[in-house]
Amino acid sequence: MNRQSKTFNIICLLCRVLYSAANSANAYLFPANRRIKKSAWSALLLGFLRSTLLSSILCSSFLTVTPFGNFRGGFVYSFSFTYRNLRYTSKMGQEATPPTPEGITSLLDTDLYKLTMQCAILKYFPDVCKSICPYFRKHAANICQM
Amino acid sequence: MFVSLSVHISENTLLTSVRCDLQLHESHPAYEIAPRGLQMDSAANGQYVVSSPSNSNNEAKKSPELANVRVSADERAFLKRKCPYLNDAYITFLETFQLKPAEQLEIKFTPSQDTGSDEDEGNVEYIIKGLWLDTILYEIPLLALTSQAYFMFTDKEWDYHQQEEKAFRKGCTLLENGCVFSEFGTRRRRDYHTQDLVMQGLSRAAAEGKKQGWKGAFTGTSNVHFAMKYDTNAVGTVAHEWYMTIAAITDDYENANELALQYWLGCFGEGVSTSYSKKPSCFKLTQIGPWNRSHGYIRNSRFPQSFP
Repeated sequence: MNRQSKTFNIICLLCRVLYSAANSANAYLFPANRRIKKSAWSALLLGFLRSTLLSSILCSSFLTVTPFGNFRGGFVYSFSFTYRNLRYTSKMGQEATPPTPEGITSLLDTDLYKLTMQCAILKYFPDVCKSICPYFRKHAANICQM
Repeated sequence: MFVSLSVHISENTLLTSVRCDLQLHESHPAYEIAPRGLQMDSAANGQYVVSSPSNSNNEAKKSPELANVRVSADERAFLKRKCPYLNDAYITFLETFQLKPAEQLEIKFTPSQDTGSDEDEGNVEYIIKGLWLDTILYEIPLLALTSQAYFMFTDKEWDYHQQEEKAFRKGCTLLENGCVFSEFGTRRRRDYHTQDLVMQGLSRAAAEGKKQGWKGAFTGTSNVHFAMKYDTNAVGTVAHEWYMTIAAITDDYENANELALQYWLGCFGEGVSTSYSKKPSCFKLTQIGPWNRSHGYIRNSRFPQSFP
């Protein structure tokens, strides 16, 4: 059982090394916006960890004579590691998730002053055409030169 | 396609135009350049114009999505609740309002030195034609999309990492030091998600500020959509566009400031008064400097709704 616990620890350690190596490679090889999303790495690693955890639990249920102390070491370690990754995933998941609504998806995704002005225009100047009004042409040209 | 360092934005009363230096990368599909809003098509003279959705079936699939954006029932309810100064007639109007970029918007790209290369730099110009009433809402979405395109294709050295935390820390620093501030970043945002993260951070900082009893205040955001999302106040100004346009319409530049304010108060008088007494940050009338006639602001706030 000791051996299994050690194996498990080594696997976890390897995962960490692989993870950081992959991250470094990712950061080194790709520009910021083309990097493989960190949440994807985390998800991959978590999937692997879950499967190893599950197998450990299954092993422990089969081997009822498990020396608890030794195995606990493995569990505690793996738990904290998993926890760290979970936290990382949730944090990075929030940060690395691509913007759900891209571009403009709401008319209200604009500044309030445009709406208030439009409200006043509707009341007083609903027929003013900016692009053909001679005053606009004349004075806009002057203003632009100022 | 986009871009190089300087972005020059000029706004005038004739039209809202945006010019920016850019690099042209034809390899990028046009709809990628300006996602969910604009598409551009290469014209023979090297200019880019908005394609009509009816040009081809393929393009119809990529039709400008700005045209499909409508005000929802939730948004209507929010406007009624948080923006009582917007009258019912306007909110009803807004419900049926839609932008028509295929008819109203023209986008031109003029390379400064046309070598035919993808790396050509030049000017992008948006020309919006139509009634003031119909075209006024283009400015912010177009600026936001332009900014997004810049940060998508030119300045790419950024990511979302720690953005929320940074906004939170900045917000905390401001609040701790008694500053009253709001968020006005829509037109220069990297993208929607970045602004979302900033709003998350600032909202968290505001909550922290209340908890800690800091003197400062986060008064809200200029972006109505995010004000709704984070249940905060939408804040705004009386824009110079209002004064300039009325000066141009009336051709009376000497009295334009006064007249523009009279129109404004005629429309929002009661609302503004209410806003001032209850929500001081709702309108920032910092631009009323010239309004120092003897009859003053208070008296004119009683202008009848039917003015003039």
